[in-house]
Amino acid sequence: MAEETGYEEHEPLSLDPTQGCQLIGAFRAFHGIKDGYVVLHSPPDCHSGMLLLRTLCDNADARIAFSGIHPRDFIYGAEHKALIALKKIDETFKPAFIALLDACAPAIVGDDLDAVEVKAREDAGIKSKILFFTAAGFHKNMWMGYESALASLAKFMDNSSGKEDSVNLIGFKDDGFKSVADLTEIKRLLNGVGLNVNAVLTADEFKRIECAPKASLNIVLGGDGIKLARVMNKQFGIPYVVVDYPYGVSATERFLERICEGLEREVDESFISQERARVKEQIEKVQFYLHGFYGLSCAVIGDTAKGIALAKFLSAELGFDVKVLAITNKNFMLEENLKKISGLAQEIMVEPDRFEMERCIANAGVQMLFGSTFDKRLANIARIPLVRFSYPTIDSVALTDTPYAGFRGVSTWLESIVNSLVSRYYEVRGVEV
Amino acid sequence: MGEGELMSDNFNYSLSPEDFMVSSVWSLPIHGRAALGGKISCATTIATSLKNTVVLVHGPIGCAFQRRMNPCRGWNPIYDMPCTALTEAEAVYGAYDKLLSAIKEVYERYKPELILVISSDVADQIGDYMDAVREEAKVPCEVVVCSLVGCEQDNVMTRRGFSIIRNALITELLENVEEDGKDDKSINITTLVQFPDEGQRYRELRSLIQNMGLHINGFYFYNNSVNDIKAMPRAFASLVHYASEPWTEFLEKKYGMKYIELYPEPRYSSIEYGPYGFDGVDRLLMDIGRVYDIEGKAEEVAKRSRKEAEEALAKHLPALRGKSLGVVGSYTGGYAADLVRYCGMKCKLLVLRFRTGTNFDMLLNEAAKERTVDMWRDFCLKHDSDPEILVEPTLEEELKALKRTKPDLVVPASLLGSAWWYEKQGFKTLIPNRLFGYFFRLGYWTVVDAAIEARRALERPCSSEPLLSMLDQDEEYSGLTRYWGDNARVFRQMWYEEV
Repeated sequence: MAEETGYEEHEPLSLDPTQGCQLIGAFRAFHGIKDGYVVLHSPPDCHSGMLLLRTLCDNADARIAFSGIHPRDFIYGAEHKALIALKKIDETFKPAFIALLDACAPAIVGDDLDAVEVKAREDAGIKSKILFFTAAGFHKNMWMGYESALASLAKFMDNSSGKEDSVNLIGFKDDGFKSVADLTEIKRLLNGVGLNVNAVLTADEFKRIECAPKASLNIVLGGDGIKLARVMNKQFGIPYVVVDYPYGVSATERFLERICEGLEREVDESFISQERARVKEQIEKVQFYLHGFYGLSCAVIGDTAKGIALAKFLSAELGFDVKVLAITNKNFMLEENLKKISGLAQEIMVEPDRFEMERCIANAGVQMLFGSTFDKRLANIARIPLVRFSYPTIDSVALTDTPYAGFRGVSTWLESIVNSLVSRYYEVRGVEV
Repeated sequence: MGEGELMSDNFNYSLSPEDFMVSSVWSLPIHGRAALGGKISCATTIATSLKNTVVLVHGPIGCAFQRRMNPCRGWNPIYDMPCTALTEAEAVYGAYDKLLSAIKEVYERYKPELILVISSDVADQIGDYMDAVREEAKVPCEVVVCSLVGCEQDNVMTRRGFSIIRNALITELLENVEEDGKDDKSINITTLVQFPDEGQRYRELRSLIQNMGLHINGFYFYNNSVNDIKAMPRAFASLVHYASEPWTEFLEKKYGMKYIELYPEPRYSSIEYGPYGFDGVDRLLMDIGRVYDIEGKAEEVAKRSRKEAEEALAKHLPALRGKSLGVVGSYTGGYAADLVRYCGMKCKLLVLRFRTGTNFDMLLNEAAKERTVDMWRDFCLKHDSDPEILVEPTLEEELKALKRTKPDLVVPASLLGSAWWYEKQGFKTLIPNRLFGYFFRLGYWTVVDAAIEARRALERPCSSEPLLSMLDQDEEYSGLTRYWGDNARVFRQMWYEEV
């Protein structure tokens, strides 16, 4: 298994990146703390960029402020502003937790934000728990920022309240497309086999995260967040299982089986039978389209956890020919996973340059694309449908309880895929003489 | 109102689905209320409106990744955004060589006519001598380097991202271009922000200029090639927003180019200030005429075109004349002022709010606010209106005043997104989204469109049970919920006050 220690970034780095920097990864991890707040010690660009990415997903929930660094602060520093911002956020929103992240500019200046964290803790007026996390974008890329940020939460965890027969979900991102519905479905599945979710890292309140050591097992979704799982294993003795993100019937069954194995208990077969029967009813309604799906060529652009899981589902359960699988960002499990998925797609690209990725997909000649908002042009040029599922999806909203994950997710996938193909206007192309 | 009246084939603006995206994105509180776009987004707004141009961000991957979404053109991400992917070591030792290699690689990949290098904060701080790559890159295309250092988002237009990039493009691309014959009848038009259908937006101005016997050398910047930019000196004059922008001075000094300033000093001296409304467009055409020494022709075109627009307007006036208005305004008059001065509508209530959608409003000091009140009062009195004036009232105070004065039509401020609130209270309301591009169009027909929208607003039923009324509205920031209002207050303190 790939260890995070000694992991090295290899040159050349992507020229046109398919992922963001460490700051964005850390923001994604911390923003999942539902009663938390993120304060960026940054100029307006970083703040507005992340606020925009977040707000376009969810107009009601963008808990991100900034310390208002002006260009003159690039010279003289602006630690005092970070402290003021922390106070202001604490006073205004009364969050349980505030993550203070620095951007590149103050990191170069050398603002001492460790000292700001200490001052904030000593300030009797500030009630929120404060964490300074070094996040300057030039240090690392998005997934590494996410891993480190998530792992940094271990220091707040309290192991004193004993064990419960429950599980933690690790690596869940609350800004993913259909994340709310996916989480509801995953919790329903776990309840269906008699398990309660103790904490979701991160899509939960801070007190749930503090109590995360109460769980008997950590479930690591697609390998994202394994650094935290290992820290918790070491510090609190909590075992973990790495499971595929549950897309499709088989993956969902395996998801439940692996978790039950991890807890040394039997899977409730009656629950699974019942769910299979429901899925079967839905499949019957679109059975002839499913015949048509066989051999349909597609490309999948997504992160390690979701991209691989989707490619497996499309290939194994729908008979798609996955020509290109572009993994936009790695995790520590990817190297191991790559061996297992060899042959899943004609071409597997890892953290590709966007230009090269688009060229590869265009040359592959696919009939359908699964990706994010940033893949819209590619789909338009190729005149093929785009089904959005990966980060960032900011040009579609997801308000209804229609997950992509789990047994119920199968219907959503079928709906999305069939509708995107069937409801298009197809030009009749004449024969050129 | 019949469909035929609405669908005139003159210079009415026809809204498209992209306009919905523009008004949705602009209703986000990211343009100075709870966040500010920053210099890179301003710069890429201009850069991505050029033909065969690739922007290369000299910065870490995060800058390129997140700036694909641009708050000024939120209807479409920027798909190609290569960067130099600066790392920590390069932040210490510099990354000049990497930039040089990246330029070559960008050329190999995209084969653009122009590579536009934009700096990030990191690049600005490490102090790479970026300008040198223009000589050293040795690529068969143009390279323009735009360092955004010191570019702070404030109310000084010449320091904003899009101004800095405009300066870089013009001064660098024209650096070695000698004038190759002046066309005395040619004019350059400067655009401001980029909207989805700039062609339609400038349709009338193009026609007016052609009728004056002139022709447009180019719109800068809108879909320009490098050659288009290099052809700028051919024009006899440029229509510019602010003469203080360095590129205007550059063109004047190097090529003797004249300019016509859209917003001359003293700025915002009256509600009728600016190239808006019939009188504003008259003034603009006469200004152009003076520079080209064709004042007679300009006057003739102005008279004829205004008459045509007035005739189109006349069809709508019986439905508007004498009707009363409740105007929610700031330091500009816009279409609300047009309804008063050209449509015979009476301003009965004037509400001034300075926490609107842009940082321009946010930066107004108390004296400027007082002057704005006086300007509005003078304007209204001049046009036979004597409104009750409220300055930054609470919602409750505003509602009381509305109930007291009972205006026939409310004209909310353009960026506040609060039309639903007035309709919920039972007041007919002009929907600002319908006239969103008003301030970015130049021509007489903006008044006609304002009248059409006002008439339609008076005729159509109010949205009496808007879903938006289920949300708690902030008392200070119209159009924002309390949650967003709190965010805006924190932002205001951190950005505007803690300096």
